[in-house]
Amino acid sequence: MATEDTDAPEIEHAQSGVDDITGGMKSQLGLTEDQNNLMGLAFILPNIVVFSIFLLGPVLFAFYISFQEWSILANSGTFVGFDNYVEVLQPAPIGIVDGNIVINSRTLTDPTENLWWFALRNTFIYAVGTVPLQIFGGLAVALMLDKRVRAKKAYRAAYFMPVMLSGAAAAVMWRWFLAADGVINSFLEPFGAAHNWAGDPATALGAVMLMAVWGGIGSNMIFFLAGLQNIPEELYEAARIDGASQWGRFRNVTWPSLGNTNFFVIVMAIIGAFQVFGIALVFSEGGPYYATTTTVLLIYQRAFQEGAMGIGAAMSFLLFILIFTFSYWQYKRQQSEEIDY
Amino acid sequence: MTDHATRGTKYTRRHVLGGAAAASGIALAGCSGSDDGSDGTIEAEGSANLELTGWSADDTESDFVTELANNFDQNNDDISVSYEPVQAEYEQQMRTRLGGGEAPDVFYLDASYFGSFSKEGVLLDLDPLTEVDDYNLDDIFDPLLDAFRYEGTLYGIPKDFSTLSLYYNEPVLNEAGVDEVPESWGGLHDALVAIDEAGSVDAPMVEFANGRMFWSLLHQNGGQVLSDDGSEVLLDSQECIEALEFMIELRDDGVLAIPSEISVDWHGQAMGTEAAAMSIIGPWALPALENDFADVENDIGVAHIPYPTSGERATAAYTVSYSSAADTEYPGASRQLISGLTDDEGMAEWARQGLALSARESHSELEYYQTHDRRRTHLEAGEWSHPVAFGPESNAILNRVNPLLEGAMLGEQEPGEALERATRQINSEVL
Repeated sequence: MATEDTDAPEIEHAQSGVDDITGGMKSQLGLTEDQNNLMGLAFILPNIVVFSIFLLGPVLFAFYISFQEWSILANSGTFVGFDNYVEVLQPAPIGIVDGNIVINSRTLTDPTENLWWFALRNTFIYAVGTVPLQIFGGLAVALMLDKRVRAKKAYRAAYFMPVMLSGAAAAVMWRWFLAADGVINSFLEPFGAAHNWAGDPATALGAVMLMAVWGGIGSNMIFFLAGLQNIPEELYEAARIDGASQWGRFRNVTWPSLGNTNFFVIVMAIIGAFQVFGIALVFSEGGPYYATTTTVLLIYQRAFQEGAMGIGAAMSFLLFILIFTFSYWQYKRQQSEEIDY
Repeated sequence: MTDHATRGTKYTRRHVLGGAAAASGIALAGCSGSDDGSDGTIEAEGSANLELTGWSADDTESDFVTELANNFDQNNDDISVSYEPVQAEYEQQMRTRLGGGEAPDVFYLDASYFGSFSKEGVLLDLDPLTEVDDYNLDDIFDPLLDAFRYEGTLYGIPKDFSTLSLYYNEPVLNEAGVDEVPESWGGLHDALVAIDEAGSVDAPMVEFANGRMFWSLLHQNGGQVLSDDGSEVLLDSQECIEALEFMIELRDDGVLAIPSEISVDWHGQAMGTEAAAMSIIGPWALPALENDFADVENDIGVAHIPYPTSGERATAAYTVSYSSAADTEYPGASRQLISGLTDDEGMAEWARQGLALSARESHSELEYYQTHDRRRTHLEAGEWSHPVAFGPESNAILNRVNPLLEGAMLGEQEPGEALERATRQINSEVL
């Protein structure tokens, strides 16, 4: 409450400043408010047109064909209602039979039972394994490189380098590294830990995750560096005067001040993790034995290799619902934790 | 000297190609107004500009198809052909182009996804070619032609094909005391065990994790993938299970490695580096062996794949068609181009490139195959070959079977369990 009272005059002052500016424009350009709005609309029109044609339109069309048995070759389809969604989701891990809840855990462990659920499980494992490491790794590197260290720019460039590399190139490179006679096994061999990392269903997903963490730290580092540089130095000075330790300054100043950056980085990392495709395709083509079959890779196989566009579209919308729900939940959580200074 | 010789060769080849194209033009354009071949001719629709497309395995193929197209162009006054190869995502590009009504006139289609195109009625009927004089369709191996038929209608003519055969390193076999190339499954097993005991290679035999040779072995053992009416897969039959069990027995006995276990990418590399003594592979390995492993190349022989004593000779084949779009502006000219590219001389010239095999049975008599024993062995197998193509849902079937074969090869599942699951999954989800 106190914060709101204190902020109120500032907001009013800021608002009057905006009015002055727009009022000035009005008088200079001789535009009414309606004309001004129209001009604003004209400015964003190119974006709306491009967005509608190349993004919104295809998305809505994909939603439409998720209710069709659609042939891309014939460019036509047959309405099948929710059949595609039912086919994708059944059998489900949890079902109701004769009024009793039945758990079918085989859908999560046996790819032949229902590949959608198995691929979703793989994707969850991938997300849980990569997102925290990408985020905390990015933050740790950003904290290290935010200080006065020698060759800071060179380190930043080195950490950012994987971001500039295409996923396909990175996947090919990591295949070499992780090959039976690859450089990683050369180091592990003396300890008896050499292994066919990419060829073993038990370790292939881990290998893809390793690659994703390596590639994800650099981009998060850049976002965290930007966030760190936006934190006012006065806050740190005040904390020092109050006798806060290094950890105390991080816990009470740095971390809360990175709220918006955290929200952005977490949401983007989760979306990226759920949409993992290129590296899984190039590194192992979803194998061995479905070990790296992720949801988007499955969508690609169904829609583009098998021509089952309706099934592929239904899978895409199920994935969209999942990502949207998670992002919205994260957004609400972030709003409730937001701190203003 | 070299320049002169090269030019001389080119001149000769151009001459042959030109002659072939002209002959096709005369035979096909004829003087009839009909384009249905009822009087032994096909006529183009006046002036036609055809677009020919395909993927390009390498520059050699690209240059050669360009030359074929140019020669056809020069020898057919009313038809001009432009060749526009597609570099990536060929199948997806063709789907969208055909779906959008923007398809080229003549294009390649791989047998593995041909069925999904023919089912949608987007391909031009090529049955009129069966009636054309001087175009001997009967000479093309039946299994290959059948791969491009849908509900009795022909929608593609094989451009070429490849069969799988047994490659072996003769000195390594001799060193292990294997004097004869094995001809039976039992003989193959014993030979591999002997090679393993001799210990001169990383692995006696190599095969991909998805067990590609299964598609040959199942037919050798009397199995089949689809029922005769194509309504169900029959991979859970005893014959198919026994074929997979034989492969898994080789794995269990430690005589069959997957490439990543011996640090190679594919069979050709395994043979060329002498990491493996045997492998079942197609003729595409030969240019790689000849060019990249010249010191080992002469030690490597090619034989027909061993088969069970109670079974029959069989092998898997991979083939590609020339097809045309149903809505092409120039159906007659497109048929003419396809026939020109696949007639006796057109296909012989293609075969002489050594990239893939001629789809014409009579070409085993060509001098080229008389002097290229290994390719002749591949060609002979065309007679008992089974294209890896399973109707309109071929990709969906392969996408479900291959991972399960991989599961069996990697010891995640028993062979019978893998094939029963694949059968159940395909019959309930796909067919």
